[in-house]
Amino acid sequence: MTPLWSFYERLLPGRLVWPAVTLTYMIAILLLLLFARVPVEQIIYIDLN
Amino acid sequence: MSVLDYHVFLLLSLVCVPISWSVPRAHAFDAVAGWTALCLVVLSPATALWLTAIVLGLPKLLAGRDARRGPRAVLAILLLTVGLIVSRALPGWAWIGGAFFTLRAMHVVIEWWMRRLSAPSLRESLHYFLFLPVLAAGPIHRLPHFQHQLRRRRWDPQMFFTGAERILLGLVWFYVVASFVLVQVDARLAWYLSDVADFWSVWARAAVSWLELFFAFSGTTHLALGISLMMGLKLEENFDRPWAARNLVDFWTRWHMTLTHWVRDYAFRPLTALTRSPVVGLLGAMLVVGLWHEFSLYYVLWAMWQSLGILLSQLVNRRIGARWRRSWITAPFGFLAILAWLSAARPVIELMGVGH
Repeated sequence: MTPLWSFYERLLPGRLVWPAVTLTYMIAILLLLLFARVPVEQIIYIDLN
Repeated sequence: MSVLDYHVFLLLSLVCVPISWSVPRAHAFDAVAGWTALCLVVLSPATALWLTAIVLGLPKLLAGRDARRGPRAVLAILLLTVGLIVSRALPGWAWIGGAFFTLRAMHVVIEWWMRRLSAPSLRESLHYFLFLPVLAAGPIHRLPHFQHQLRRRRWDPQMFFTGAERILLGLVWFYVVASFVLVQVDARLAWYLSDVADFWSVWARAAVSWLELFFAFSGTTHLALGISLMMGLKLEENFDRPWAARNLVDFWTRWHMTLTHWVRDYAFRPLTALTRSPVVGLLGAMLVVGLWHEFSLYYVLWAMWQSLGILLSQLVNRRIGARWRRSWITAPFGFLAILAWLSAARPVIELMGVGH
């Protein structure tokens, strides 16, 4: 059981947990496909120089 | 000059997952260390050389007879500090993760000095330092915890999928929220504030960059911890909902926790014990945090500003905090007050003529 599964389990009836988790994953993947950008500025906590 | 892209590093780190499960258990982390060394040799020969010196040199320096622990520990810490200073003075050599593995090595030396840790063997040193997922962005995990995780490591589907979920979250935080959404917000804000006095516009944009920093850094932390979970290791967390903090003291115990714990244990407590002054301890600890970020006058002043914030926060908390603690108003007020203080560092320091 992942943290997202536990989160939805607390809020939703049992039969809705699986669709909610799948939908969240799909939205995350869609966001990545549509809006993901490579950072233009150097981020101080990423020590790649 | 060669600057590596984080996604190259991320893809190479993900390769550690199949390596760790396909190689027989007894040698899984020898293989991970070998893969890490190979990646470093290709991506950054300078870092490979520096880290090899630590991996081989530390067990040698700390092993053997018990006498002269103090001088040996001081020598090791001096060498590690010189290594970090040299890497900072020579940018463009594609250094990877020096800020993180230097603190890991110092932790091993100090714990050995305090007799809380025995000298690591060469193999333990290899496993601990040559662990690619945490090399570029932490966390600054501790050796005893890492060894405990290696010992109790077993295949656990729940852990594996929790790791995969954290990777997905980390990707969204880093590549969408920090690198796209907040960059757009910053650009709009710059446009709206084009007529506003410099001080206020720098302050507002610094607040956005703190949020950007949070999503970028917590995103990379999710990625590092997610990959580790997929390999069967549960490493130390770096964030504990820092924006839910009630005041600045609370904030610094929730932000980049592995660094603040390191600084608490190895700078704040010894300095406070030596001087019997928590204020000196705080100033020294924040100075270490500032200089760890960057060797510059800006970060010295930044450390002073954040120390002042913590002292004021303690004062306010002592005087009126008790009355406000249970109020529902304090949650958003606390968040805004913390963000305002943190981001005010940039315009205030720029007023002194020191640029970021």
